[in-house]
Amino acid sequence: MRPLLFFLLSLFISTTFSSCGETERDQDLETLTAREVALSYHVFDDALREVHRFAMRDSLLNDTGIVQRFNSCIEDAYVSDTVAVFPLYLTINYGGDTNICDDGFNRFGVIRAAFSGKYLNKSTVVTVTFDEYYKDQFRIDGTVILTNLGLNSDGYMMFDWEVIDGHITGINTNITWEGEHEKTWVAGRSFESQSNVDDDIFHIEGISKGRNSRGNTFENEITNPYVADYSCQWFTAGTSSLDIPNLEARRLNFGLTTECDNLLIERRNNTYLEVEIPY
Amino acid sequence: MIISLIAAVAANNVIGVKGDLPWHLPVDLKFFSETTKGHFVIMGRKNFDSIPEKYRPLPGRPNIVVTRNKDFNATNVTVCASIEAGIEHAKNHHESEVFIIGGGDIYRQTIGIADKIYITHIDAHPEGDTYFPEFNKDEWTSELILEKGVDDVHNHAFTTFVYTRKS
Ligand SMILES: NC(=O)c1ccc[n+]([C@@H]2O[C@H](COP(=O)([O-])OP(=O)(O)OC[C@H]3O[C@@H](n4cnc5c(N)ncnc54)[C@H](OP(=O)(O)O)[C@@H]3O)[C@@H](O)[C@H]2O)c1
Repeated sequence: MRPLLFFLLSLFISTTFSSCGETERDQDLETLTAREVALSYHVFDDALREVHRFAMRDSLLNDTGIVQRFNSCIEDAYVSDTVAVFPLYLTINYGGDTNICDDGFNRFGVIRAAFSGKYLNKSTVVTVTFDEYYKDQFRIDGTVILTNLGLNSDGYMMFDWEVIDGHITGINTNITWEGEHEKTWVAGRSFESQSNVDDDIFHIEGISKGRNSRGNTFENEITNPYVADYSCQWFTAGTSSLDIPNLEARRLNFGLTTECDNLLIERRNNTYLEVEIPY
Repeated sequence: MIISLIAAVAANNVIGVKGDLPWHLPVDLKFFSETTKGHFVIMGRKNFDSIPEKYRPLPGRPNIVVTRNKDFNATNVTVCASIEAGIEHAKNHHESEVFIIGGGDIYRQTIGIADKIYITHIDAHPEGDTYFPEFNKDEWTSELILEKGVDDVHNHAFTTFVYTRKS
């Protein structure tokens, strides 16, 4: 009797728990692509912010800067020459692991940026690459090409932002990502506040595509600009449509600019799912 | 044109306290953002005043503020002297679903003409001074569209339903 009772009991427990587990796994699958798309934007935009912070403070890379190390987690940061003869090569070395930066995030390894001219000059191309670079638990590889497009008709400086052969790897994470975007500097560029980058706000528009950690392809098109407010580490607003072949179309929404958090909403018709960007 | 109300309501029907929300629920705000995006939103003057200046008008959607004060002035919003005028304005702009976004005074005057109500039911009993009007759920069908438990940034669990008036 006893073995049979034990068998029935364990069958009951396993069915109960596995059906509960199923739901959680399904939910996870639902939001995996959205999470990985949002993570991709976050880590590549973060690397560009780091370069922006340095470029805005260095007088060789722009005319207004004050040479200043901007993040206590940086072991060593330097420009390849002491005179403004381009190209100039910027190296930001975050050193070995567990370097907690002023913003509470963990960065280590090296970001390199080659400047073809002064950062704020039209047509300058900044090529960013990574050397064993990690943002929190994720290793970042790929090439980012930022081209200064000059001022638009509203007087805002614009950049073309291209990511080629991007890879984000970590535990259970293996994303390939590439994108073609325009970044418009909509606030914080006045001469007086140029070295203060925390009041800078950028709007990002464009398309990215790639493959998530389960090998599924996706394409994400921004429908309302993603808002990168540099007083916050996360996008604070913006929407996009996310297409995954053979699955229903979905929309991502980062909010109303009022919140600063790693959360977004994924919507599929009348189903709304919360997505949390890992770090 | 569908007329929809959208609100976050506590278990004791409280929706506001001293001109503010009694809770901070980022995922609900993002739900609100996603649902109303691109649509006309109509709000009472007090609700408009409660939104920090930096964040108003709410971006990505045309904002209508209703007030009886003829001298009321605000940039980048449409000001209407009555709720009916606000609804008419949205209709004239070929809106498919207009959202009434509160507060209490405005919800009370429009719940009778609503086709849909999106309610985030918050598992909390806060003190408050503004309430969502009672409505008879038997007259509505309901669909659960979002669920959220308590976590580091959300002090209260909530469930969001869309109620559609039975025809
Ligand atoms: N939980 C939620 O989902 C939610 C949503 C929104 C707001 N809230 C909260 O609700 C509270 C505000 O609500 P409330 O009831 O005090 O005020 P309200 O409904 O936001 O605004 C009332 C005002 O709207 C104008 N108004 C009302 N009826 C009108 C009509 N028929 N024609 C023209 N104008 C009209 C009047 O403005 P004048 O005085 O200028 O004439 C009136 O004083 C705040 O605490 C807010 O945080 C909560």
